[in-house]
Amino acid sequence: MAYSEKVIEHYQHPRNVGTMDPTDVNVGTGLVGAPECGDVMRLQLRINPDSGVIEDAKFKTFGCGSAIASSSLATEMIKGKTVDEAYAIKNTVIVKELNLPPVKIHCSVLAEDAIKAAIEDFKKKRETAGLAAVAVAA
Amino acid sequence: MTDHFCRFGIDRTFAVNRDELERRFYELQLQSHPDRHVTAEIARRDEALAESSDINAAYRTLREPLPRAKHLLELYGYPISEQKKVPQTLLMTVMEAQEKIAELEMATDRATKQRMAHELGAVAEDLETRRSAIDEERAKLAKDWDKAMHAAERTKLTAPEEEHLGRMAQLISERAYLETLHWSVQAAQEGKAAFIQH
Repeated sequence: MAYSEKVIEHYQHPRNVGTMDPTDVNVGTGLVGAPECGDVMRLQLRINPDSGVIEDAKFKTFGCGSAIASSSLATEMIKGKTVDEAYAIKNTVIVKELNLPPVKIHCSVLAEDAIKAAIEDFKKKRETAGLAAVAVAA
Repeated sequence: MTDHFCRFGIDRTFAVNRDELERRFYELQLQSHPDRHVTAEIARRDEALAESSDINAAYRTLREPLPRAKHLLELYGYPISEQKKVPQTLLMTVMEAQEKIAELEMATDRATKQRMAHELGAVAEDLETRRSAIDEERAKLAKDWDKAMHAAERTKLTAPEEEHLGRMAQLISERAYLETLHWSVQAAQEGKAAFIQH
């Protein structure tokens, strides 16, 4: 299958690969998988609890080139955004940006799911720790 | 979506008679083969060509057990793509194993390499065990399903029938994770970088 130039570029030079401390109360971790192909993606966000802004994002993805490119692009897109803005991101933006073919659309869905899972993890962690919810209006 | 079982005139079951399937395939292809429509008008010719290619795709789906099972589940409204309830422990297993592979690839000293290779061997063994357990359960579910007659639509299925198919869909998706990981482990053991292409 032919990958678009942008996919190849992200695949060869993935941005923001890495890990953060998952126990850090300001870090949200999303671990999601693609049930059809078995790709696994972990996305971590460092969120400023006062402003609700995503200050840093790291990912590790094990899967095809499109899955890696989708997560790499996702980290670039959400850095600097508020959690609400990031939560609202739709996979179609990734599809368009990377020019993903129909058979690879699920890779972008995976990235969207990972963003949502990471934000939910962050919110849940703060709740469990008895900390105030990050209140930001998008 | 098109019901390939219906198109081929065979029962909607997990197991199919391959000889019968092949026979039906040739019959269908004979009707729509482009060569039979050389003298027809262009619109009809295009139609025949599209039909012929659809039949090929349907045949590929029905011929192999896994795509066939996925198709059956999809007809009942259980597309594998919507199996989001993957156990987090399974995802974590995949993540940990993949990190081991990455470590092995980065390792430069002999001792680390040996230790990692040993650990990967254990991972491969565990994968194999889990995969055969899944396949065993799948085979049993398929057999039990095929024994009885079922309604054609999900809304008409009984609660146990729904559970039956739901479990099948879950198993197939879990298998996909193990399969992808298996490729990576195998590539690492052979000293190759895994380039995953589904």
